[in-house]
Amino acid sequence: MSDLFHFGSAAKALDADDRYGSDGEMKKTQYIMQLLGFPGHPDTLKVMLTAAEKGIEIESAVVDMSAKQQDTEDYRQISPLGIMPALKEADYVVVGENGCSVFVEGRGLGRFLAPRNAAMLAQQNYWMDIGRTEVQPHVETLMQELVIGPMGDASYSTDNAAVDAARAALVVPYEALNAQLTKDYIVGDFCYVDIHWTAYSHLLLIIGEGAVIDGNPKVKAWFERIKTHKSYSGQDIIAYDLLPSLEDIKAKTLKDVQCGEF
Amino acid sequence: MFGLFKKKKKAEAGMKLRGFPGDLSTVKCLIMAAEKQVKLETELLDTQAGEHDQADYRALSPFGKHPYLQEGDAVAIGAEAGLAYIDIRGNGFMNPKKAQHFGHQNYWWQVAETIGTPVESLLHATAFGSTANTDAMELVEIGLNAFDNALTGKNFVVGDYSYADVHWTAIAHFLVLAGKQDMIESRPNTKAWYDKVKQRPSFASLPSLEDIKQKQLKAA
Repeated sequence: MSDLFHFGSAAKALDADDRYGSDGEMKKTQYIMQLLGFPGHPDTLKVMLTAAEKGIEIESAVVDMSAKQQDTEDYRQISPLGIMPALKEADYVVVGENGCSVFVEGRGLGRFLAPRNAAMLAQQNYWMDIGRTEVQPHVETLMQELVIGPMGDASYSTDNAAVDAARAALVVPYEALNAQLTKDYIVGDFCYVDIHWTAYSHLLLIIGEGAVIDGNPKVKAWFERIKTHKSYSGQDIIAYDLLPSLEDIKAKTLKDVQCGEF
Repeated sequence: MFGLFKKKKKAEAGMKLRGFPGDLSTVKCLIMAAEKQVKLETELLDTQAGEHDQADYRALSPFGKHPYLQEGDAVAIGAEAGLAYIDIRGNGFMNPKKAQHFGHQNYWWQVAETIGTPVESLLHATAFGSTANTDAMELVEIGLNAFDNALTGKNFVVGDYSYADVHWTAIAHFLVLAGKQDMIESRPNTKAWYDKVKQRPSFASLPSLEDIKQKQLKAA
């Protein structure tokens, strides 16, 4: 058994010069957060985006979904059902996008991402629900068939019927999102639901499936706003810039979240 | 479409839930309403007969999501929106204040969602004679084992009663109705937790197997 969280600062001596926090700067977090995820996995990207929006720095390592590493004993020790991603801070571990995101949010800077207004909160949750059930499974199918499957097995035979079905299934939810977008962001102000749909839309874009975005003008305009949206917590970064390219996915690399200065 | 929510105490109209007694999402909303002392009228949406896929319901809920919660001109569709709406309309807030507890609450929520479909299929096999999804039973067992470990030394899933307990009460109740009470009783921490949630007044809001067979949805 090996400890998958034994990487980055956790693998360095406490007095190492290049260990996180060794320059003595005050940070919001007392301990560095560590993320185990995969660059082609929507839920991993949601947690990275949340961290960047909230000014939380994260060291990342890859759990290789193309080799089904999420099903290995080492990862199942952390997440018995293989739910990804996993996040650690000191001796606290939490698993899954929903758990990781609210923990990062609680540790982060600035106002809460979740709307405080009941109307917006319920709308946010509805659109996150639509994203999880009507969009994410099809994004994952396209990612598996077009990218991850061939990465893990050179002789992988793409299921073209599944690809066509996934493409077709994405049309209606993206049209619904287009109708919903009457303001700058999905339910008005920027919140969690924008992070969710950013993850889906980005992955579609980089694997050449961006037609469903381009074909819906309000979605396209929203996505352009997202690409230049400055960190919610005021740091001088754009969360979207942290997201992986297709080459990053194929190379199985996941960026650290570095927030820099205000 | 579903965004016209009014602030607490402003809405005078009663809250009404369209759902199905054999649907986990509906049952979770019934538990939340009882926990938050929110009065809820109910109307059957016979998902077993496919009413959620009919054109008149799709006009209200384009993706067929349910339950459908309405209060005046305010609407919340699906468990995630419905639970949050009822929580805010009721007394206090159920989300933990501590980030670590909040994170774990949401993790156990996700695990409950992950095993929810096979658990629901077990109940439907018992109530309606449909075919149970037995392929996923290993996943349910793994989820229950992890849940039992997490409950060690705790009264509730993350300390105080939370959304996670609402989700898992519905799961445990469906397993018992499906004749799988051994899956609860063979796990000591889960059994002790279930004995505690059964003592809560909200447990009385849950449908019986006969209610489900007869497609009767009680008011909360």
